[in-house]
Amino acid sequence: MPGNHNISKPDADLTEVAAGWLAALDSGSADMEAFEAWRNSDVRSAVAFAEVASTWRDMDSLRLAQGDMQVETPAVEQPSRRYVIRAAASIAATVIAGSGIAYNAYARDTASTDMGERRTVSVDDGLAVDLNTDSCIHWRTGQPTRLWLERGEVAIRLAAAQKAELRTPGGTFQLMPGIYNARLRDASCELAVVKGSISGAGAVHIGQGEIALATAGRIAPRSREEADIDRVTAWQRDTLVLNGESLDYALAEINRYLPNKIVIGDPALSRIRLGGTFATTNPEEFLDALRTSFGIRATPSNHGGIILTRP
Amino acid sequence: MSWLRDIDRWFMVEVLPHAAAYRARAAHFCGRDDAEDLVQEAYARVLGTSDYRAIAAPRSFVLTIVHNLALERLRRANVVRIDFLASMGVLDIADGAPDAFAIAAGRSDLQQMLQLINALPPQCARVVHMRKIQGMPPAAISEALSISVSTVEKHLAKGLALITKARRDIEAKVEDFCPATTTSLSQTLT
Repeated sequence: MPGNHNISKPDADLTEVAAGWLAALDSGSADMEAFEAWRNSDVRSAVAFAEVASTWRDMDSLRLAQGDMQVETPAVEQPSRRYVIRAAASIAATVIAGSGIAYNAYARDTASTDMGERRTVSVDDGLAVDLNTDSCIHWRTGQPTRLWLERGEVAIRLAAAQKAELRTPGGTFQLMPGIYNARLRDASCELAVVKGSISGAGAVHIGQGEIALATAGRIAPRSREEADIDRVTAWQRDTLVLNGESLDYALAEINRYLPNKIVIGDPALSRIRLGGTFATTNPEEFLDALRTSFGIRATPSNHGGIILTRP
Repeated sequence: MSWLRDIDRWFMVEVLPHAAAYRARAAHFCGRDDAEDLVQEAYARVLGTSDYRAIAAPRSFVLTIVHNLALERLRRANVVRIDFLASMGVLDIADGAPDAFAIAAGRSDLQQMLQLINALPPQCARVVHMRKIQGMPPAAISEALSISVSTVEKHLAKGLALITKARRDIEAKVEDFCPATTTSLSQTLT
């Protein structure tokens, strides 16, 4: 944290120490006993270690998603010939030993939407995809047809006898005939089974009306209470359904559709809870509701967005 | 990652993803400068809990700890407006937000992670890229770049620390939605 306040920041150094331990553990050079002793010495060490381990884990998602993203290898200024040959050999070995990452990268079709846009694409006979705002999906037809969700949210409709494999940064789903809603949330993917069923790694089976969350290759069902399919699919009717959520949450949802974001200008407002159904195509309606129910004022900001304040 | 204890895995899955919300809450009460410190202290309390499995709603639990720690601090400080303290005490801070992911927006975004890696010093970026994106073992990286395994380790450690810190800064920017209340806090009691 830059700045000239002189609060001692032991955790800043702890992050570096924790990263050092993790790198040593990774390469196998660490003394496990010494590591445990360090971690047990102070709970702040354990916190720092969990935090760097979390970064380390999140970077793994990059590898899982590698076929889906334009990854630029950092430029090598003046590589020696020996370096190039060795690097090439190592990378080749990794790809062969790996999970067919290079195979993913070619001959894919792509569809995407801008913010506020919605689109339907027909991938194959009996396979259609609706893209919500700010979304991107790739596919390659075959047995089975593969879909890669790169960004945003999609609804996937599979006719009888059609199957597909959906790959996401959070994990891969095998989709049976039916209707599904997939939404990326950070490095995870939330998949709702509107109709049909899915399976994933570890023989997980998720049935109709259920929602699963895939994170780092692991698929876990969400609790029944959380599975509200109507709400999940409301975007296809251009609506946002709120049921007592905070204004923070409501704005995060509605801002997905707006190039010019609505932000909270008064922290106290974020605790307000809202209910109702709002059009995602028309933020005015939402702002009107805020004004009439809570007296919240919406003012245009310098950057084209909207700031909410109390009167 | 076999070196993680059960409590660490739980902490990484249940607690850390909501870091932006904790920082926003802490910044709201104590100002941006002290927010990180407050959050770290809350983390320490959580990770020091032996019966962590009994915590039904980890996100709300941590937010409550942040709130209580903030109260403690404000009570100790003599620069707090009394009406502010009073209103804090009666605040309903129940947090049942169903979608913490949305609030933690920006964290672990893959594209952002790639940018962070590419922004590292060149050799450091190269090593992190080989290890984490191409999945090369440290020995193979050492071979490919003609550097020792311990140098590979040093680059990885440096990159990991830099990226962890950069992600904290990014989360701090998310808090700009809720600017800190430092101005009201700086008024002295008379």
